[in-house]
Amino acid sequence: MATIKMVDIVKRFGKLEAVSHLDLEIKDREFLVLLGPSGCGKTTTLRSIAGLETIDEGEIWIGDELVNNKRASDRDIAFVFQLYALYPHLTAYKNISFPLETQGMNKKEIEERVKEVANILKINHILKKKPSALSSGDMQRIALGRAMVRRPKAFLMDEPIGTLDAKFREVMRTELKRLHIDIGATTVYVTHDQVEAMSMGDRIAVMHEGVMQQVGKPAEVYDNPKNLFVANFIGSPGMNFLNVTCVKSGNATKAVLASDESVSFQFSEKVYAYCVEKDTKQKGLVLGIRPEWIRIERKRDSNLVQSEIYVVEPLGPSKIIDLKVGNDIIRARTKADFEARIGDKVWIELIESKVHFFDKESGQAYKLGS
Amino acid sequence: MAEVVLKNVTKKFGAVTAISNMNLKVNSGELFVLLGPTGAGKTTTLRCVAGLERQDEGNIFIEGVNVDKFDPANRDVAFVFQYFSLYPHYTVRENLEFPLKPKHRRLPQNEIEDRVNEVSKILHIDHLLERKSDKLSGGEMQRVTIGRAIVRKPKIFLMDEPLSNLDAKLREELRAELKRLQMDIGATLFFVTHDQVEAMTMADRIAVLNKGKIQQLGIPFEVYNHPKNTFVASFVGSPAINFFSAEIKNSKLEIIKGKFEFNLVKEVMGKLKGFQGNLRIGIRPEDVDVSSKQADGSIQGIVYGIENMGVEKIVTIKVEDNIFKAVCSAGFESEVNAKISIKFNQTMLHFFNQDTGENLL
Repeated sequence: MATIKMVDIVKRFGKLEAVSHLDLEIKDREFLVLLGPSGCGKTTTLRSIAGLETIDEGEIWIGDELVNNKRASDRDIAFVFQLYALYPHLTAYKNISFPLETQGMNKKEIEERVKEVANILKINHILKKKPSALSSGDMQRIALGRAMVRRPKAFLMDEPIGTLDAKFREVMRTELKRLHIDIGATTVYVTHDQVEAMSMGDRIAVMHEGVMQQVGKPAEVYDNPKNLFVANFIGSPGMNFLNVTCVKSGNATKAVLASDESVSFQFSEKVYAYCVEKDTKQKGLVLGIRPEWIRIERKRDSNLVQSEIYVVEPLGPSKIIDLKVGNDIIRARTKADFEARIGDKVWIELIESKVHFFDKESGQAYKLGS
Repeated sequence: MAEVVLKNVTKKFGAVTAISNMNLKVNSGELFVLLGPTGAGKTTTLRCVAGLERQDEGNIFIEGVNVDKFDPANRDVAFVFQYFSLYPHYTVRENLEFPLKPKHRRLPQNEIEDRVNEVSKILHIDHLLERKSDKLSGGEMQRVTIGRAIVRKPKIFLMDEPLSNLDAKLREELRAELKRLQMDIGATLFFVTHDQVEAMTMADRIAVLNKGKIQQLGIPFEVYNHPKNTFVASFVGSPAINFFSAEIKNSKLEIIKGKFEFNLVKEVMGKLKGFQGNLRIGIRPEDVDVSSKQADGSIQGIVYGIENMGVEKIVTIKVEDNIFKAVCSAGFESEVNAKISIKFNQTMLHFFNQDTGENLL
């Protein structure tokens, strides 16, 4: 296995810069997820690593080798498209050995290679079976086995489970992550689905409009998003955003809602001082808070902010409550047994330690606290 | 009353029965969701109501009138499809005006204008009225499509996966807006989706459909907490419910041989009495408690995988040959292959007949 390193990559299609000065290093044995909406450049990045696209600027290193001028077939990389596409008429063994047979490798060596792969994937007992007799997880193992048998330096996967139905995808995602832990192969995995990215990635690289927005562990991108785009893209429902200005009146320090100046959230002196320091031009800030950090009280509490229940969305294990605050709608997550009726008045608190602030124009996050 | 009633409706395509003897009633002012996997018969049902397909057997009533012989145009329902269907060279305003223009409606121009303005405000597209519709984003297009359906003020809307082609964020936003809109205008909405999250969050009532048959009909709470069979139990909820085979021995329930043993409460025991078949137990991931410390009544397992979803963690656990999931707080720390203690919330167990899938309680 190997590291993959991209230095200042640019890829253009005509006038369009699909990938813009991208730097990214994928560690040996790491499972890195490239995440972003369609058109963000993630697939182009992956295809550039594979050698299916020629980059216009920058360097791509696989291991300690510069591969810019190497053809795709010489890069020693396995590009996996769909993890459940097997030859139905061939046994599991034949499905795995197929790439080696087309290379003209001798039978004995093929057998050794297949055995080696089968040992890692724990599929020795099913090698004689045909795909129709296998479970989905086993089929995935066979498909990976077919890629592994060539001993590639890394796996590249482009939405390999994207077209499956929701339940099947859930199973596949757990299995695939587990397989990665067992075989420890460097993997770059492309998806537009933040759930897949969060659940599978050792690290997530979030892309938008060809530009790398943030690279970090799932908990980092979720808890400390670097900008509005990442904050909004990760999490379901996404983070709530409110335009606010920070104000001091008497002893009270608060964030006043831009959409309705009669509504304000009280914050500590520390947060106020911090916001004033950041908001030098007094153009206001964007306050961000995730749905699970909004506390709802049914009883009137003058320290909290009054709001009205706008929509109730039960999810089963929890509920999403859409709240009207001033002229904004924000979403809170509550327990399933929270009784809520549309039109009810409630009082809410934004948990201060979980509040984010962003620059209104650049969208960059300000770091609170430490 | 703007209600839709299906009575013994069957629809076949050649040898395939797409809908089988379906009975349901969508109440006036209700948001009714038909939920099921691809091929379940959802779209066919909706198309029969709209008159785009004719059922082979049974009757359909709209507002109390048997419409079996009515053309789609005479059923006075508004249909919104998955794919936006706007006139690309028209502006948003022209697209919204279009359904009001036919001569038989005889609407004066100022009335048309009022309606377009009202609808565009409700859907937050009033700033886009003069824009050509091919210059809109996907979300804006779908809003206009919905607007074009609303502007006629029909009493009944039929919507076939109207949010499915939108990206995740937009879908989340629009589903709440649509629900609120339906409430505000008091219309009847018959909504089809394969997405259980959409169904749970939007519906007043859900009908879960599989292979042309209604599996269960109820409010989201019932469908989630009292699934009638294993199909409904596993189709609704994410991560999916966990299933185990189990046995009852000397009035004790044994899940995973030699591991979990529960004393069954009398009421449950009474209902299971006389049941001779194979038992299948379901438990939702949020009702599985995990801990790194051993506690009374807990059993040992191995962490098979951990997924950090930000708001919570999903832990996949292996006990012998059983692999199942637990949902725990985001702060839960463990690692793959670590030992873990597991407890089932006994009051949240679901009992099914292994062979028929039926809920036994």
